[in-house]
Amino acid sequence: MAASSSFFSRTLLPAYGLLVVGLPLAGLGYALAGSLGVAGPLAGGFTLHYWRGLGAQTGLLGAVLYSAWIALAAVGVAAALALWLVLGAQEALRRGPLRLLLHLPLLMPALVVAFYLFQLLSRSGWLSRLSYQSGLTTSIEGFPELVQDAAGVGIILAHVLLTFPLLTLLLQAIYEESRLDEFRQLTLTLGASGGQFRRRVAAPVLLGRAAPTLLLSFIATLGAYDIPLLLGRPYPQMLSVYIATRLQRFDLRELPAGYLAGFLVALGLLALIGLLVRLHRRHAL
Amino acid sequence: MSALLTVTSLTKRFGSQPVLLNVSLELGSGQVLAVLGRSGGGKTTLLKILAGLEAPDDGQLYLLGQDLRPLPPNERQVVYLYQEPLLFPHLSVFENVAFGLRIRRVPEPEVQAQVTAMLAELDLLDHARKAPHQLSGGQRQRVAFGRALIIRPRLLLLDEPFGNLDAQTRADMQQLFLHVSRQHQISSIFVTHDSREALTVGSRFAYLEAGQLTSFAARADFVQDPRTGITSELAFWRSVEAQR
Amino acid sequence: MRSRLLPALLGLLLALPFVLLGLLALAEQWRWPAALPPAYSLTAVRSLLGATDNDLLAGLGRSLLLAGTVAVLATGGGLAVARALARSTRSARWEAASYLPYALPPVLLATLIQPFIIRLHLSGSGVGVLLGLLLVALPYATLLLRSFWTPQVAEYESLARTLGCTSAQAFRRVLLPLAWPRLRTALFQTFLLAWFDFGLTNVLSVGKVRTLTVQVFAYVGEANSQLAAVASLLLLLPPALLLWLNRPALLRRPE
Repeated sequence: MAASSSFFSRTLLPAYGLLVVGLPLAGLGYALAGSLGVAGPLAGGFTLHYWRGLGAQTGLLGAVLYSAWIALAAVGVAAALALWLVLGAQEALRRGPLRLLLHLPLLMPALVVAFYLFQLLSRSGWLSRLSYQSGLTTSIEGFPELVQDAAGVGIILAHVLLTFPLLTLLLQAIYEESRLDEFRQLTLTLGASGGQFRRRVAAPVLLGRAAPTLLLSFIATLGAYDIPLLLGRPYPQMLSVYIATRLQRFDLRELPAGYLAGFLVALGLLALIGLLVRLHRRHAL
Repeated sequence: MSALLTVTSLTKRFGSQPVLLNVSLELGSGQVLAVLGRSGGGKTTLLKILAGLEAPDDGQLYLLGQDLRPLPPNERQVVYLYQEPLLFPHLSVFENVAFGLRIRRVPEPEVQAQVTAMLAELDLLDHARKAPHQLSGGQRQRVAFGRALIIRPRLLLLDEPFGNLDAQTRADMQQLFLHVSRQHQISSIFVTHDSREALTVGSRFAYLEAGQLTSFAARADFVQDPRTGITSELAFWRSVEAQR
Repeated sequence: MRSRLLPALLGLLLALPFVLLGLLALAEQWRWPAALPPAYSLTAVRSLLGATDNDLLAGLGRSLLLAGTVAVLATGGGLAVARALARSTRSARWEAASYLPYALPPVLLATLIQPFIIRLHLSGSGVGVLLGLLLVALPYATLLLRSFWTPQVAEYESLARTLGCTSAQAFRRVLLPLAWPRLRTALFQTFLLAWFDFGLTNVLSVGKVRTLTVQVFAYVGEANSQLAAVASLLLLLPPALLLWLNRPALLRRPE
């Protein structure tokens, strides 16, 4: 038995490493090589052409900034909403139905949420029809552009809809785990008002302990694909959409620039996560 | 008396660290070898090698004249009991005891009869349908005993089996162990760091420290060896007695 | 008052998707500005059962097969890898490495590994998509099951061996029952991971492996909101069922 199991672990772990670390890193290396003109279908030999052209590529920078804006807004609104619910509706959250309701978004693939919001918020969508029927608007153009809009309102809403219920459940779990109710009674006996307790004790505790999850949601939203694909515009695009469209073009001459973008974004995200892990460790010590 | 178990020149290293050095011992049928030793002295490794859970680097192991080394643990009929009772949480008390019989595909009526008898002997019949977590610490250790005894082990290995029990339950369990050992003619190696427990349960004695095992020909030798700490303890109680 | 209003409001907000999708699935000729469909029909729903246009049913089958395979392979593999990892002397390093595939968005990961999938002649095939999904699901299951392999579980296994079990028997009769609650969670979560995926599948298969999510996207592109709604509702069905059956298990997260 000892012999067979050691053989097992001797072959299993390297195979696992090859898949989980080797394949992504090889992909990263291939993308780098592709951006330098040494790999890919039209590779013509080493060149720094595409790297030099980086400054002129406003698309990538636009995608980075746009993604950062969407992620910041979506996670910010979702966190604010969750915090407001947990601090303002303890009673309701502790009893059954609301808790169950908050699990509903777990059922919904991002793509379905995007499709639903499109049907709800577009100019020919359900809200537009209701507003026309009730006389609020008089034409299809009278309804504001809520999806495929410049600011990304639709994309942000979709992410909020998916994220805020889970954040609420998380904050509620932290609230109960940290026994904030007992702290509330304590601060009240010390002469603080309910509002002071929420601002000075509850909110910092909840947000502090939820910070890693909030950061992870932020990073996940940065890389979102399904929702911006349906609810976004051709310009500006979010990062994943930007890279995927560059690399799926039929014009092979565009590939190196796509590889360059993929390489830089992957590297940037890994650096960001590395930084967060380091900060978190230092914080924990 | 022919030896049941003969261990000669057993050696085991983990890396460059020797854990067992040239360990030899003999055990007769129906005997209880009490091995006194602190944790980290190599006692767990010794028991694991006997059970077939670790392979020795060197040395011989014979049980009833049979070379144990090529045998996997499941073919040795040597049961290893841990400090924790380790009852299977997904099985009832009855099924925990029946486990070894089920593995051996013993017919159902036979299983019923044997397990019921074992539970009766261990005073567990009322708890047969309970889940392990519903039992007290002492009851759990008794179920673990029954689960081991029912497959009639050729050798029972006990690694501080009562270490987690309170003093009273511990004393009760020691008596129960002596009783069933005699009843079933069980041969066992009982490792403990408690010299009193060693003297209570043992019929043969050994001392294990830093991977080296000393066997004692008689109980008196064990008591007199300064390393067991028994003489100094006796001296302490005598001095208390003298001061009264 | 407020404590009752809030659940009602949230209920409305969270139930509305199901209502609107249901209406879209049944609506005939529902043009702006009608607030409700002028007529209802079961045409789209019936096309599920129809012999001629079984695209949706095939998509449902494909999605179930793919997500089921991912769940079983990732969970089984994760259990084995987690064990090897627990016994490794560099266990912490392996654990850190397991987070790498999450660090990148799935679509970016897919575009990065795409050249190798093409090289392996797996582009556009179900196996290629399976490999891509496993790249994310396997480390997920591994991390989830890592905490199962404690020293105590090793002791349980040793004990079972000395009681007469072969390694296979010890695995089946002791380890598997002990691990079952976690395995259930891992099966459930990796199933959903594959079931919900659109980007990775679409990129790796160049749209050729038409799972339900890929079909939703395609129907939206064809402006066929009726079929898109039916496919969307089909996507919600299995998770709803699993959520109902597995609510306690679902709420566990990898440690």
